[in-house]
Amino acid sequence: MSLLQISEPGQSPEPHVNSKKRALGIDLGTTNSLVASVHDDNVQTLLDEQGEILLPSVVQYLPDDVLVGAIAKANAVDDPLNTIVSAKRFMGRSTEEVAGESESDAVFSYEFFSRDDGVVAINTVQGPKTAVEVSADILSVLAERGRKALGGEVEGVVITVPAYFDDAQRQATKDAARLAGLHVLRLLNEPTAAAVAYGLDQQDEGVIAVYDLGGGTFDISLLRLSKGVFEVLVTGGDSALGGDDFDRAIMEYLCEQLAIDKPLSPATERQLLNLACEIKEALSSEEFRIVEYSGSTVTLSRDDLYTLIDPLIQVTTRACKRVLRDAGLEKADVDHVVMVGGSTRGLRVREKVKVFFEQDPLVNIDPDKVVAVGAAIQADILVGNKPDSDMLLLDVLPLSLGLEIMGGLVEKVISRNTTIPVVKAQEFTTFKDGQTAISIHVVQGERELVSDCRSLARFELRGIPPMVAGAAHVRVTFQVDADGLLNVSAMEKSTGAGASIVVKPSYGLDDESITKMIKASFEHAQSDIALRALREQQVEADRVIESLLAALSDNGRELLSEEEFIALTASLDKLAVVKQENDKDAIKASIDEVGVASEAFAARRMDASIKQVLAGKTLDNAIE
Amino acid sequence: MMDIMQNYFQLFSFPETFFIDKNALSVSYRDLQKQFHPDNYASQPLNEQRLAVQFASYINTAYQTLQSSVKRAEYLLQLKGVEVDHQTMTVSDGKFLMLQMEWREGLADIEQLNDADAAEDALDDLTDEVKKVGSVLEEQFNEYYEENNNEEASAAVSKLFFVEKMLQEIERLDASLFD
Repeated sequence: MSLLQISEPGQSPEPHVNSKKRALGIDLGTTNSLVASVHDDNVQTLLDEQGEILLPSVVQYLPDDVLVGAIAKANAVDDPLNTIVSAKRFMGRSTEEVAGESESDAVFSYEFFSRDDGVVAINTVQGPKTAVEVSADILSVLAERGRKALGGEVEGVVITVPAYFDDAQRQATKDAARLAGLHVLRLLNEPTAAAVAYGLDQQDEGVIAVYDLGGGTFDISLLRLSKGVFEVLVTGGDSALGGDDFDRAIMEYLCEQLAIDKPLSPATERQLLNLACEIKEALSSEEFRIVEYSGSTVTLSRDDLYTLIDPLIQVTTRACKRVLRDAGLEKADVDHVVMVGGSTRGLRVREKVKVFFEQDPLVNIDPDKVVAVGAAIQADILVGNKPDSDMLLLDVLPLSLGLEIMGGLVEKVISRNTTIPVVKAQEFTTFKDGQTAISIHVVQGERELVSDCRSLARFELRGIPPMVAGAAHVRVTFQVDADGLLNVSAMEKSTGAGASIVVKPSYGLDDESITKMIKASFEHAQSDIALRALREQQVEADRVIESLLAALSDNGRELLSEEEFIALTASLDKLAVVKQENDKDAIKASIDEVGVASEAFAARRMDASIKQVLAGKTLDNAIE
Repeated sequence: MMDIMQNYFQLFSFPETFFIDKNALSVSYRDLQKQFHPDNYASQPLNEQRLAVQFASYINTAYQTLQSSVKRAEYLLQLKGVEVDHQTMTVSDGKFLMLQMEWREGLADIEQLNDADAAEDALDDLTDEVKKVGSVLEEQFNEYYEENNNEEASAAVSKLFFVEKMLQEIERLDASLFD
């Protein structure tokens, strides 16, 4: 799929010498993306063949080609409709939301349309493209870069997302990775990644504020760092505010001053936005900038710039105030302020942050790279290269999860800033005799009205045994995993019957759509879809075999009876054989068998480690 | 499997008492998460990954419950088989009912103030007062709980729930003054 990077013979790097697993940290940004990995305990940001670290997050669709990065960016002015920039801004968003935004300030100039499932797509010469597909194309290029640098297939990646991303936006990011054929070890919040990059450098203890202003998103998070544990206290921000908005404010000013007629054509708009960005950057070193545009000139001073962007920066400092209050902390409690994101290069932003926190923000790690660096460190640990690592990241749910109740009101089930993973159960009952189904609407957000929150999904609980009204008790369990993703399950309590759930993600892609996209992307690349699916199952089989063999050699003999041990080993042997037979369904079935055979073993291993931990603790207490 | 999941206090190796050392709780919590957070299982068998998510969730819930004094109090009663009724208990205490009304009126008055600084000061005073009542209620709860007077203990818990709700409302108003 990656068309930019054709490997030259003899150019591939040294093969991997040690047994370390290949893992990548990927910063999938609005404006730029990059990839990093840990090499001999050093984190390296990986270069492309031109020696560039940053890959512009721009994809151009040509009739029979896909261009990603700098080339696409350069073509954006000439081919604005087929060249997609800032795709991250419409990840997991509804058509109405995107349309609302483009109407108010014309953020995007593409031909949007809504798929039947409500997902936004953009018309290109290659047909409709969703943000997930655009992001997958960017991820593919980065993964290829990683493969070449590390000399082989990558075992897993950590992809960063803005802390403020809701469930739909996170799910979309994970879907993009899946589409690109990547195994996601974890979705990591960008500010947490930045704190990791700084924290491990400095072995700090205390409270860190991470101010992250990217191209299209703003996050502010407060973390407490203590003995290798990064505990996110609170997180806040604005998922639709970034440096792009600075450019846009400047562009509006230019249009006004130069009396440029509106609406702008997509090409003109792109041109003006590029000009605006240039002006913004120039004014950090110059006091004035004279701009020429189709015959007229206009002068912009630094003060003019500040008048335009100060209100936007103020939105960010107000969010800083809010998170401090939510955490119950004062400015003086903050030990360090870390700056992340290309837009924090702007002097005015640094100045305002300094004034707000009454201290100099840390900028010693390149704000463009810091997130990828943290992600690479985490990826290295998660893939299993650092079994003795003391690091632990405790992240939080950024936005409350709730349910629609009578009158279009929201009842909160899990409130924001709750440490994840987290599980909460809620009980429902029927209000009519013989009722066999209940419909549930899950929303995310802080407001009291359903209409002001993000609609995540609608569930139908079916198969409730018919009873008199109020007799059925359906227990619905909301599980948020360590990626911040929600899973819902349900059970009727009195009969123990599991009610079946039909999930309709409000704005997400369902499984079928993703499978179709994978298929389509392969038809385009004229590769064999079946081969890819087989390969995926084989990789999965390897992962299962490897992890279970390690577990078995660890304490299999202790925890399993002779019989169980033989049965589990046999199922693994069978999987190893089936894996060779190039039948993906058979491999899948065999993996499932191993899953069943190893269930008790997993539970006992967990139990054993719990006992071990508790025994250790009781001993400690006794000594004290 | 996981009998230990029955009791939050056992999980953190704490005695079942109302007053606890919160710093020790945090230390114990971090130790447990260092062991059981799903990040430690990312390259383990899938079944163990799933269990780790469940167990880490359980540890988080346990920690959040024991961290909050009102939730901790409610949980202690639950362990004795006593369910707290959040709504009706406070109403039966005329004096506390008066106090609730006073606080609500106070809050409404502050909302009407035009001077933001004055409003901020008034909110601070109200917060102090509510918190003071809260700590008295905590002492009361502890006494009733130790005496096995479940009825009074549970009344104290529902009052504590009201105190917490009041503090949240103060915070909400504070936030709207702030922005």
